Amino acid sequence: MEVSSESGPPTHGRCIVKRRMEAVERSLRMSGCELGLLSRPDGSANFLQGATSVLAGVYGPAEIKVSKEMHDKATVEVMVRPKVGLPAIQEKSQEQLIRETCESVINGTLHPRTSITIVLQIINDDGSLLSCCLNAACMALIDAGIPMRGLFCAVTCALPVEDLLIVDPNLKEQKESRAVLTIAMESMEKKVLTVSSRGTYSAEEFQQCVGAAWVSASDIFQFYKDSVKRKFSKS
Amino acid sequence: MAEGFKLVEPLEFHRKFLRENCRPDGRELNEFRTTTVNVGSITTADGSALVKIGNCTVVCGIKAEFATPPIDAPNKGYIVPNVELTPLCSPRFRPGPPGEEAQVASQFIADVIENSQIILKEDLCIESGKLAWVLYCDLICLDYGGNLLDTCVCALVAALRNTRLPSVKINEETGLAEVKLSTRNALKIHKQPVSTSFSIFDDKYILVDPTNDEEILATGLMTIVIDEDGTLCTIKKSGGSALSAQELQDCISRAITRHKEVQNLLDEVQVSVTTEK
Amino acid sequence: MPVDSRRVRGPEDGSQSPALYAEKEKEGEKVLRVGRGPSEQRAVCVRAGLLSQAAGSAYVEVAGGSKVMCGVWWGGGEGRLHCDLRWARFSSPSTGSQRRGGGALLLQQSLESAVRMERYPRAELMLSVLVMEERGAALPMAITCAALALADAGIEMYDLVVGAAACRGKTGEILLDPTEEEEEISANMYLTIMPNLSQVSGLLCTGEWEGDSPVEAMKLCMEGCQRLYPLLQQSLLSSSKKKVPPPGPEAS
Repeated sequence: MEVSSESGPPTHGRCIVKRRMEAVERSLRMSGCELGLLSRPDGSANFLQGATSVLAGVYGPAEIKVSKEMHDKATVEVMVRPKVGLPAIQEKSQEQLIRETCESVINGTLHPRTSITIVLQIINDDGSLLSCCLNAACMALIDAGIPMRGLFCAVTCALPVEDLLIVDPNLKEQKESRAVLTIAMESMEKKVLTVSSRGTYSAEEFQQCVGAAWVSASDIFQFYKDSVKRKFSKS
Repeated sequence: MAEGFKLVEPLEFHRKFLRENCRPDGRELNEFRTTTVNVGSITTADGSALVKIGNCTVVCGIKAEFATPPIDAPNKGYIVPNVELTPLCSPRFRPGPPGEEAQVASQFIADVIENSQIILKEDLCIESGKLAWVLYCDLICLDYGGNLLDTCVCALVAALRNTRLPSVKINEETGLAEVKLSTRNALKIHKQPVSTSFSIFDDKYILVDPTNDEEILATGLMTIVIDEDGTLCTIKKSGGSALSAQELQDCISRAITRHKEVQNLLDEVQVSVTTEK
Repeated sequence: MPVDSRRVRGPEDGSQSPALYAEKEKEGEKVLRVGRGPSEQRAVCVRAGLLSQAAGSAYVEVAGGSKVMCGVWWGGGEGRLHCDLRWARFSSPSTGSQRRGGGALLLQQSLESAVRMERYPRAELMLSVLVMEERGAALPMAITCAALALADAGIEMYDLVVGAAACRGKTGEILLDPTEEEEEISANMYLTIMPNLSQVSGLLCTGEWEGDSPVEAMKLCMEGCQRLYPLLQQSLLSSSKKKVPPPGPEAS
């Protein structure tokens, strides 16, 4: 094991992965997830990764406009509300990404001609925003009791310099990195569901990020389980 | 007979072919459709290209204008890409403001430009804090035959390579720009990204360069953008069938060979255009 | 200025065409029309049926000039012909000439008189025209292109609609099929006719026309349209031939 805590930019004792994959020190910033905190939606979750916070609400399966109705499955809609300002095309592109990720795990055929609406309100962005959005969406879907084939979780990896990989970076680390990748894994076979990236990186580095995401995924799924358990043990 | 089968049971129709490792249009799974590139045909634009991948046709026109550089980056110009999916290309799209697919495609092209650094925005600055070029890159889809993103990226790169900006001097006395429309200079192209799209069929077959039908029936889509050094610029996979690390690696390898194909094609076109003149 | 949230955003305070800062060319007697008589048109290339997704389509290209593409498809509404005319941002030449109004209306009205909409009471016809390059007289070309696309889609029409443009030069001479520089001078006329019936279906005049000059211009335009007509017929014939396979052994 060679943990590179002595080289590279400060990473606050969190996950640094060296180029060789055996050196993994796992600790994500996941600091909390509160389920069912909103009363109006059918399911809601507030997911926190460090200072990054996203509030998700799920409505559905509910009635739908005829124009959007699909006869063989439920229509999934995702709305991303930025912290300030109005949603622009960047949010639109995120909405599509999140929607298609959710669609691939939701068992939509059980609720044909209905709508499942996911609203994501960004409360604070301190890096790894997209993965936080995806995780919040998944938790809110669980909370709403939407039938799903499996779960998914997302991990953001940042590549600041050669030979260094930071999992779940904060905003500063993200800005200093030449590449930032967000990878979503599904829980059934642990395969890659979604990839989104910024910056340039090599194929090798991409595979390392997939590896790092794969390793972190089991932690996040465990965290999901604990959060759900906590909710039900409370009452 | 085959037409009827295709219409009634489109999934089964495609499966029949895929079981035999080929596709309804006679291609192999990792084969692209014929790509044709035509540059500089629109003389009113500062640079233009028409790219066809199979039936999918995209025209890219580049128009350069002046603007003040952004306050937070006084030494940078602007590149403003926009993908337009008019009703011309498919009845799916309605006239009016861009719909979701067009917006997502525009953002994708903007990301590709930003990530790959095709052109450095610094190169577009004429005088720091005062004057810079704005490159409006309009990508209009004329025929939606599937695989829009690959066609768009190819058209964008071909059009940028074809772009000639008029020479500009700042008059020291008046501080105003003086433009010579007759003398034109090429843009400095730093990287040449090439996009390769895949569609996943029934969670197991991975098809390169999907047609419209294959996109609709696909259980997942993925696009990989790569530059000439084999560096990945963008991987876009939103949901759909999950892929293993090995499958992803295979797709990246295919994208690398595709880059060579497109690069050669663009170089050939460039040569044929310059020899014509 | 309202911000468009559905497009990639450009510079906040807008941008200007570099042509505004271009060194002025010498204002001399610019010789317009080199190698072309006043009643001579530029060569035209016409193709029908080249888009795979549309019900009917057409492309018209004027040699060294305008390029127009049109597609037709069935919409969801009722008994209506819906036209959409657009100019691409890169279509206008660098001089940044002003777009004249009334184009979309002329397109709609010229076609309405030719298309037998009463034959399709429960259907909506959608038509989309894109001008990719404007080098003068693109509007009548767009109308010709639209009519050709409608015919290619197999829509019942009384006749094709063919358009032509004329302008009035500095000294009062009338020029057929003007270039964009000639269009700038003074008065313009856009005329569309149904050649077989010799009926005018649309007319748009701008600027100052004196005495008998409009009549003369109309005559010139009509002649121009008639010359274009056989070309359109040919392109329709070849596109239909492509669509209908030669009778095979099954047919007999």
